[in-house]
Amino acid sequence: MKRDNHLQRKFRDADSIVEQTTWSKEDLWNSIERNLDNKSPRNHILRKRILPWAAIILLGLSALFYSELKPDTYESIEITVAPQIEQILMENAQTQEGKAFIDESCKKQLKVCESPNFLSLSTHLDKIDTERASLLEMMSRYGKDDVMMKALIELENAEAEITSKMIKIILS
Amino acid sequence: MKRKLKSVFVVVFIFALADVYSQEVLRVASKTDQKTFKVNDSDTLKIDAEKAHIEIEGWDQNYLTISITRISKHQNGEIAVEELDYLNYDLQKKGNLITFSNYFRSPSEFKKTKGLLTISVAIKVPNKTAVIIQNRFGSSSVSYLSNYLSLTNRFVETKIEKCNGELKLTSFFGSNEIVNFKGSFLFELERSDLRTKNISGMISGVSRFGKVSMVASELSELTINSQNSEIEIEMHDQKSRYNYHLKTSFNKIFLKDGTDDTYKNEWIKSYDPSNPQITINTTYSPITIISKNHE
Repeated sequence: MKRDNHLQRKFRDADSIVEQTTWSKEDLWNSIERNLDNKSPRNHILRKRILPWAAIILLGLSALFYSELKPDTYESIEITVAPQIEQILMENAQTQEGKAFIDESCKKQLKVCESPNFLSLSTHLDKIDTERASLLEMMSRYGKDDVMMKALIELENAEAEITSKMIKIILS
Repeated sequence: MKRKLKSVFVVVFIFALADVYSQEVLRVASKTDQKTFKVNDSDTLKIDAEKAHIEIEGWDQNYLTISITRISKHQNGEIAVEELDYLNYDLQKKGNLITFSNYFRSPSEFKKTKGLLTISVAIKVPNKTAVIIQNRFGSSSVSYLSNYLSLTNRFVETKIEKCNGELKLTSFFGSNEIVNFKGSFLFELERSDLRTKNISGMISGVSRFGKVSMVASELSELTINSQNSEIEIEMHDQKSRYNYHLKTSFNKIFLKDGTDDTYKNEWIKSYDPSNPQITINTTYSPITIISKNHE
């Protein structure tokens, strides 16, 4: 009962508020327009001028902080694919045969084997042998890629060329 | 039943194809480190590398940037990644010297490399910095430097472009190209080729069992002492701007200036005592001088 009375009182109060606040349409629009006149320029400046600059400054600051925080050294691992290089089998049997012929000939103490030109070529051949040993060691470390195979081919060609020159001198 | 057989066949075919593909391609694992140093005019950059692709470019900043990429290739991606650790390097600055060197180190003496390893080094350096490079089995490319540059290469492809100052090149079994250089150039080649374009200044060198092919102009001196090396010089100056002493054994001297003269072993010509001297000696190989103008 007490609760019903209380509710009825509240409804009455609400009706009286509606009666007190009677708005004419004109007043209402005037009020809205007044508010628009007051607030619009401020919002416009905020949105069109200040906000873009603030965003730019914020971006600039972020970039600055990023570059400051970025470490001097960084690492990344990426996996890609590459075509495999065909391994070339070297065939230097003829050169070895030629070298054996030179050794045999010089064992017979041919004078030609003492000539400066022959000795110079012989020294060159020894150098190539040393270089090949070094190359094979490098190949065992870094693998047989195109750079290594090219180097091996160049050495084999040089050896073949020098051996051929030495044989020519012996046979001349 | 037929449909099932068909689908089984298709699946087997796809797997077979994938297997063939995996055998034909290499997985490439790479790891990149970057570093920056402040550099003074008196600093020297020294590189001691092996199995490396080196690229150096001069610039007008006062600092050096270096980017080191270790590359490992194998059919199996896991092995490629594991073997990246076999590639090591050392980079430091002590006083006026910035040094970079790389080396191979496997975790065990008995563990052999299964894949292919290489290292790529890209450096930007102030163009007044002196640079000394040693490299074995790889490539070296240098541009826009204007102080002292020294390269000692074994089985290396070298390209030097738009540099001036003092250049020293030592090459064993290498291929060398120099484009647009002005200054003092000293070389020692063995079983190597040298090609130059638009080079001027003082040139002096030795070549054994190789080929020297130069396009030059405004030389203050040219001296080449060689053995078993073919020498070809194309000059953009008047032939009479220089004095000549050319000598070869068991071959010929070719002068191509419109007259196409050939000399047997030696050719000496002095146009004016004050002219720069061109002296070339070789054995068993031809010497060719090409000049665009008549005497």
